[in-house]
Amino acid sequence: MADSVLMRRTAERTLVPPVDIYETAEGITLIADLPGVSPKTLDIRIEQDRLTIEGTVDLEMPENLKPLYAEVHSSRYYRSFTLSPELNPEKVDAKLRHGVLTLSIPKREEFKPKRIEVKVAE
Amino acid sequence: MVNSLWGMEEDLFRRFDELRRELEELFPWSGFAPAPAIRAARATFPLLNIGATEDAVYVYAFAPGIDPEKVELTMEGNVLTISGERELGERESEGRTVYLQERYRGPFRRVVTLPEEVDPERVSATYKNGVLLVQILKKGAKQPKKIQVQVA
Repeated sequence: MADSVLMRRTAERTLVPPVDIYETAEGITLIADLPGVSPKTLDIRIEQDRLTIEGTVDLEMPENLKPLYAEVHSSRYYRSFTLSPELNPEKVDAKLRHGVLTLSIPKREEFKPKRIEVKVAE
Repeated sequence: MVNSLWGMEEDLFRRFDELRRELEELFPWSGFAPAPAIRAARATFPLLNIGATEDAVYVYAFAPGIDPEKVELTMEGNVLTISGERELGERESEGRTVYLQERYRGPFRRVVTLPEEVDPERVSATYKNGVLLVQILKKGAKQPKKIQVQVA
């Protein structure tokens, strides 16, 4: 228990991006809001069954900008997920547009639903 | 430079919320931690960071995945309003199972009062990587003068 409290302390300064996750017969679609992240500051990794999304806010700011007010208190996003074994991490497709990351992770062929034709017995 | 905008004091409510969660984890049986505060923060969209230089005020609106053409920006005196709708498509659709749905959807509206010296006539906005940056020049700020090319 004490450990999780410590973990939270270290993770305090990262932003947790909100996500939508959908499943279809083909696979999983994960959509994450990462405003301010550009393709070059985004890092997506899959190690074994662990998917990690990390990104850094990359904004153009004038020199001598003084803060007046802030609701976003960190410039780093971090979130990780466990992938179930029927997903194929080799074939992940990632798109980033207007600060929204869309990840498509297909299911392995053997896990995709197959239509079984029912024959009528004579 | 990023730190100049993010290095601010955390807001007190947030610190209090974290403290409460930690207390709950340490003493889950005690009822020692106060009840969670009811706040609308979770549904706040877009989040705003505001900074200023000598010449202008910069409002960074974290608004990923919106159509910049459909965002309405208005200035009334020194009050800036950002409004629009975030459309994320159908919530339910056939053959699709929803596991998580955390992203903000629906209409949004944020109203902020800016320092009084801003000039409501000199506003510009850009949208990049899901961040809408609104720049409002201060009154009396020097701006490169536009020279009209006259056709002889």
